[in-house]
Amino acid sequence: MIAAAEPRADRRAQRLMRVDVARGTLTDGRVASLSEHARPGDVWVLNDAATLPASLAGRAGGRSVELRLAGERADGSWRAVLFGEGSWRDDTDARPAPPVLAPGEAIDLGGGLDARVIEVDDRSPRLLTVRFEPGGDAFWRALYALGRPVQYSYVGRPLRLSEVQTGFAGRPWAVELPSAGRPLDAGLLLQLRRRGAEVTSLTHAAGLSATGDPDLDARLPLPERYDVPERTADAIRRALADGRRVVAVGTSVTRALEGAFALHGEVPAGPGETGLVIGPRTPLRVVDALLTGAHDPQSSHYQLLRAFAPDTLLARAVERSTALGYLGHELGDSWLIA
Amino acid sequence: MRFRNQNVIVTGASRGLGLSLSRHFAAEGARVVMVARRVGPLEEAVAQVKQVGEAHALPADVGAPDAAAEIAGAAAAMVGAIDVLVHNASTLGPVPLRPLAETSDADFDAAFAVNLAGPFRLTRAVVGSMIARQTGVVLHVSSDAAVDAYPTWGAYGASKAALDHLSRVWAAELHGTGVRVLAVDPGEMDTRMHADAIPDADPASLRDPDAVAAGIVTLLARSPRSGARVQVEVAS
Repeated sequence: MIAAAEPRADRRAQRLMRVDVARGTLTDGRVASLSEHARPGDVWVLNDAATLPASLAGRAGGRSVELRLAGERADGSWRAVLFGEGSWRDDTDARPAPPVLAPGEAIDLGGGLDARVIEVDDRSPRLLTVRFEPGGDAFWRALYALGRPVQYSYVGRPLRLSEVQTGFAGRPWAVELPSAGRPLDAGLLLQLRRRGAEVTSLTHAAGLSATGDPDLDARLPLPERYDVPERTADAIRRALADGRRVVAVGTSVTRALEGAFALHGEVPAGPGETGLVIGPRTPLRVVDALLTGAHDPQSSHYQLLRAFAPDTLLARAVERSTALGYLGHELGDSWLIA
Repeated sequence: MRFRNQNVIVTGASRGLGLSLSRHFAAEGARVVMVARRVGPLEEAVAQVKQVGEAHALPADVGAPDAAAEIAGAAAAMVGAIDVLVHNASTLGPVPLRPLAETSDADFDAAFAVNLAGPFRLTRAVVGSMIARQTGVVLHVSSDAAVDAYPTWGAYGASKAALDHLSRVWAAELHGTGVRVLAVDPGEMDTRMHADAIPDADPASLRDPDAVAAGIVTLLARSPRSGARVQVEVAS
């Protein structure tokens, strides 16, 4: 599939392929008709995380660097990945390695904001734990003044912060766009509800998709935090008891729900962190169906899709999507695997 | 404590009605993010509100094209997903006020950027999360200049009339979502803005913004009908 180089001006013009696992069939359609695939009693779960301006330009060790936030930790420190000099135009894998920093060193991010290194990962020295100085509200003000969204080299121009938000973004926990929800607007959510589906949300801190270091990429996703509101925990509890479908909007929702269940044997309300990696042999205990971006087999998200559908069906979905001109990656078209 | 644990954004919060509204929401238990352009006056205002409750300073110009995503994101980072959004910031344009025939393109555009486009974009950035949670309130602070045609109040009055209609269309579109959208007319208040517009007004004839803010907070606590344009009542 060709990577989408621009957000579609009309979100709902996005293509939607229904990948029907029970029948082994593929149906080409539009996201605008999504609610036709919903059933009364479905529980659709969105990731309502807003996308942070997670990319900060700075200087460290006498060199220009980019610090990309990977996720906030419970104690207020952040996991972050350091990149060598370069810009959004460069493929992350082609950028020079960043300087190796030691605990105690600071990255000067300008505007009075510093990132103090607390910990350097043993295996990949570009993976840091940092504490921002200043912290609190002053950190958030500085981040929103200085930070830019993580950019993609296949997009023809820098994306603005407003362009990497879903239509239902609340707390800014994601460092990259939780892209499966991008085509859903308020009208579509209302249509799903009118169809008799419950539409609810959780917050999941979707992490980085690329780090520029193949060894570190192989460890993605890093542990990511999530928060399940009481109303969502309740909706899932009832759906599981009644045998109704739970539809995850995106791989991040799937990881949060399955990660919570793996840990607790249920999906309790409240915050948590999961490093669960879902692949072809992962049994799905909560999620029955998945709305996702159309993914190529090379992408890490594709491995998660293999938990939902047999490889032969996914391979046909890729082939058919490519033939029909579906677009891939963050700004691309959608699959509903159900 | 009628707004305990509610997350509130108030724009134009460094003085006048915005400061009073922030204080009343904070005193009612809300976490209030106060937005204003100038850092110094904003920080003084936040320090005042912190004496009665929780307040956070977020300097931003609501009329700036990219401000909405930044305000929505930073505010939600500080307090959590937003429950109440109050569009109070507005600009008169240059004072003394002048007739439309003498209003420049730049001043006309600036009035609509701050008084209309800014609220539109900020609501758009915040309301989706309200829809997903099936709860929330968006409040537009209007003016009687939106209804009556006062000479020299052209750009301001036209932008406020458009804001009233924006409020009604949002309410119509969000019917059934659990999100309510309202406009309030606070009446003539003893504020810097009023003094800029009508320097020789008798302060005794003007409303106290604090009393108006109390009236607005009470109004919201009573869950008024979405789409309404309400004249604020002030306890005498």
